[in-house]
Amino acid sequence: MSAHDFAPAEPVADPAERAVARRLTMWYLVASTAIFLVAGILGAVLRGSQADIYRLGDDAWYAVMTAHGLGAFVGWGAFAVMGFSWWVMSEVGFPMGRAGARLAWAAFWLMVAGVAGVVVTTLGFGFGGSWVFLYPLPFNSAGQWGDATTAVFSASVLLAGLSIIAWCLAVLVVVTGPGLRSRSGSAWNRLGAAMGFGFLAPRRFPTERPVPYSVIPLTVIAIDMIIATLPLAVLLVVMIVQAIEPGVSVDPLLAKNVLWWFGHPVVYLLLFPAVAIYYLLVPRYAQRRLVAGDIIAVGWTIAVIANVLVWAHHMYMDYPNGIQAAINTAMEPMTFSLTLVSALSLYSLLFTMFRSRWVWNAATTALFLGIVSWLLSGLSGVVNATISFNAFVHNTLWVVGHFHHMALLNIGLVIFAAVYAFLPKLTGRALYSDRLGSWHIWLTFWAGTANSVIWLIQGLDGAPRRFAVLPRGYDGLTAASVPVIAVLALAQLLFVWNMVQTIRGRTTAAARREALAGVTRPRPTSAALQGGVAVLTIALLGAMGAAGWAAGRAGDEAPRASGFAALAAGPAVSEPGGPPSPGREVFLSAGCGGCHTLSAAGTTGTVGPALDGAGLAQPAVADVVANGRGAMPAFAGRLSPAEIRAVAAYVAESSRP
Amino acid sequence: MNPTALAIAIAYAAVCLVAAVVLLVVWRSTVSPRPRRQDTTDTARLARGEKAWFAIAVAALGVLLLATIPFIPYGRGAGSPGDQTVRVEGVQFAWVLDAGRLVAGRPVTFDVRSRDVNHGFAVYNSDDVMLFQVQAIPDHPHEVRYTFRKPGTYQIVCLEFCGVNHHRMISTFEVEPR
Repeated sequence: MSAHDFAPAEPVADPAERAVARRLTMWYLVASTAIFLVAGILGAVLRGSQADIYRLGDDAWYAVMTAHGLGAFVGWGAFAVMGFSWWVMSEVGFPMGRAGARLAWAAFWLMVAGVAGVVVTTLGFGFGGSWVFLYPLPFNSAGQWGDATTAVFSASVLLAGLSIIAWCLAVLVVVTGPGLRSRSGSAWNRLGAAMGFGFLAPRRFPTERPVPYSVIPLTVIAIDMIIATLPLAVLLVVMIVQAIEPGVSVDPLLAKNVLWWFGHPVVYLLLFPAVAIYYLLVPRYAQRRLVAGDIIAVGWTIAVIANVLVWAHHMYMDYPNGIQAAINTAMEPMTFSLTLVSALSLYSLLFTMFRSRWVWNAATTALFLGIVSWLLSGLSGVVNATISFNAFVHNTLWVVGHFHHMALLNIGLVIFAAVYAFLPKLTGRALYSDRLGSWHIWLTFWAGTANSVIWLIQGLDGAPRRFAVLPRGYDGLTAASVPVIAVLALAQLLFVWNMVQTIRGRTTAAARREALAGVTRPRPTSAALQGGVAVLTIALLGAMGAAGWAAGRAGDEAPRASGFAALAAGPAVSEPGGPPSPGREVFLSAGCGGCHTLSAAGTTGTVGPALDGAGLAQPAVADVVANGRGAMPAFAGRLSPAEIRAVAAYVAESSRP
Repeated sequence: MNPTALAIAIAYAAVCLVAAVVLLVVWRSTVSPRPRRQDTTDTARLARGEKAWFAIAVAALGVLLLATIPFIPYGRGAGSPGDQTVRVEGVQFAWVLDAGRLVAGRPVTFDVRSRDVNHGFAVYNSDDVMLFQVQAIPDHPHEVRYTFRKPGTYQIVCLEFCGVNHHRMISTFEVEPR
C-alpha cells in the first residue's frame, strides 16, 4: 500500500473508548482555560505597570512575571495541547487503553498540582526568579524570598516536569497500541512505524493502513520530551537538596545547559501537538487529503534528532571557553535544519488549503490565521537562530515579541481552533455562536499581532526584556501597547462566554431561527465581512496606537540620552524625598539606592544593610565607598574623591538616628 | 538603532511582505468562484512539489548561514586583542569596573566576570544604542573585545535577569579621545 491511496482514517467506533478520551480532553480543556485567563490577566498587569498606569513594586512585578511565564506557557499552552492530543488520537482511531488513560490522568493531576505550587510560591511567597529561574538566582534572592520558597518552587516545577513525562509515556503507549494496526510484534518497530518510517520503508514498518499524519509529531515530541525533561528533573532535585543543605551546589554553566536542554524542546511540546491538530483539521475543512509527500517523514526524522541538539541557541551569548563556543556555533546549522520541518509543514498545510473547497467558520479562520502567525513568527525565529543577528536581539524585547507571536498567535489560535472545532463533539451540543467565535479570532489575531510587533520594534531599538521599569525613551510604544492589550483581553471574554454557553447547551437566536426554518444558515463569515472586520480593526488599533504614542511622547520630556542612567536612581526619580544636595545626587546616580534603603533619598534597596538610623560617621562611610566591603564593590575608580566625600557626608547626615 | 538591528528590521519587514502576499493568494483562492481542485490529480503533483520546496528551503538557509557566519562575535570573529584591558565584575546590582584610561580608536579587551548570579554585560552608547553584549556567569570569565570609535560616556546595562533590582544595574564609563 502506498502513501497516496488511502481514505481518511475512520475513528474507532467504540463509544466507551471515545468517552474516555472525551472526558480527559474536557478536563484538560477546562483547567487550562482557567489558567489561561489568570495568566493573561497577569500579563496585562505587567504591561500596565511598565506603561506607568500604576506601578507595581519591583518585587511584585518580578513575582508576577514569573507566574505569568510559567502559567501561560506551561499551564495554558502546553497543558491545552497536551489535552487535545487525546482527542486528536481518538479522532484518528487510536484508543487510549487502560494504561494510556491512567497515565493521562496522572499527567493531569501532576500538572494541576505543579501550577498550583508555582502560583502559591510566586504570588504568595514572592518567588521572582523568572520562569527560567537561572541557577543560582533562586538562592541569591537579595532578600526577596527564602531557600524554603525556592525548594517548594523547584518541587512545583518538578511536578509539572513529571506531568510532561507521564504525558509522553501515555502518548507512546497509545501510538504503539492497537490503533497503529501494526503487523510487527517489536516495540521498536512499532515506534518507528508511529514516527512515519512506513512512508519511506513500507515493508520494514508494515501497518494495515498508513499512519495518520497527526500521529507523527505526537510520537516525535513524546520521545524528545522524555530525553529533555530527565536532566532538568535532576537539577530540580539538586536545587531542593541545596535549599536544605547549602553545601551542595551546581556549576552555573552546566545548570544553564541543562535548563536549555529542556527549555528548547518544551517550546516544541507546544508546537508539535499543535501541528498534529493542523494535520487533522486542515484536510478535514479543505475536504481533501493533506498534501504531503514521503519527504514529510524525512522532515520529522530530522526533527526528532535536531530538537534535542539545538539547546545552545538560547546561549549564543555564553562563550566562556572554546567548547561552549564550538557547541553554540554548531547549533546554528542544527537550528536551521529544524526550521525545515516547519517549512515542510507550512507547504503541506497551505497547499492543502489552496483552491480547496475550504469552509470558512470560526475554527477554520483560527487555523488559517494560526498558519499565518506560524510563518511570520517562524521568520523572526530565524533571526534569533542566526548568531550574528542574535547578538543584537538577545535578551531584548524582540525575543518577547517573537515568542508571544509564536505562543499566543500560532499555538493559541490552534487551541482556539480546536475548541471551536471539537467542542460540539466533546459536549454533544452545537457551538453557541460561530459569529462570536469569528470576532474572537479576528480581534485576537490583530491585537495579538500588533502587540508582538510593538515588542519586536522596541527590542530592535535595544529595549531590554525583564525590566520592571523601562527607560523613558521606550514610553511611547509601551503606552501604545495598552489599548492593544485591552482589545486582546476583551476578545478573550467573547471566547469564554461562547465556551460557557456551549457547555450549558445554549443556542443563539440565529441558530434557533435556522432550526425552525429548516434551512441552512448563511455563511456567517463572508469574505466581505472578514475583510471589513480586518480593515476596521486595523484602523481602530492604528488610531489607538497613535493616540497612545502621542500620549507617551507628550509626557516624555526627559532627554532620550539619559534613559538607562535615570533608572539606576530607582524610585527616587518619581518621589523626591529631600532637598537636593551634591551628595544626594551622587547617591542616586551611582546606584547606591539599588542596594541600600535610605528614606532621605527615597530608596528601598534590600541587598545591602539599610542606612536609615545607622548613625554612620563620614570617614567610615568614605572608606567603605572607596574600598568596598564584603559584597559591596569599591567605588574609588568610578567616583572622584570629591564625589566620595560628598556622598559620605550625605549618608552620614541622613543616617543619623 | 544599531545598524545590524536596522538591517534586521528591513529584512524582516521585506520577507513578511512576501509572506503576506503568498498568504493572501491562498486566502483568495478559497473564496474564488473558479472550479475547486479535486483530490485525485493534483494532490500527488503538489506533494512532489514539496521536494522542490525542501531543496529551496535548504538552499535559502544555507545562503543565510554562509553569509552570516563570518560575523559571529567569537572564535575568529572576536577581533584583535589590544593593549587596553578592563576587568568588569557584575554583582547584584552593580558593575564593578577596574578600568584605567580608555582611549577611542584602539581595541579594548573586557574581562567579564560575575560574583553571584548570571548577569548580562551589554554596552550602550550615550544615545541608548546597543553596541555589543556578552553573558557574565559565575566561575566562567568571558573575554570580549571592542574598539570604541568615538570618545564619550558609555553605559553598561545588565541584560540577564538577576533579581529585584535588575533594571537598576546600570553603570557608566568614559572613553577619552586619542
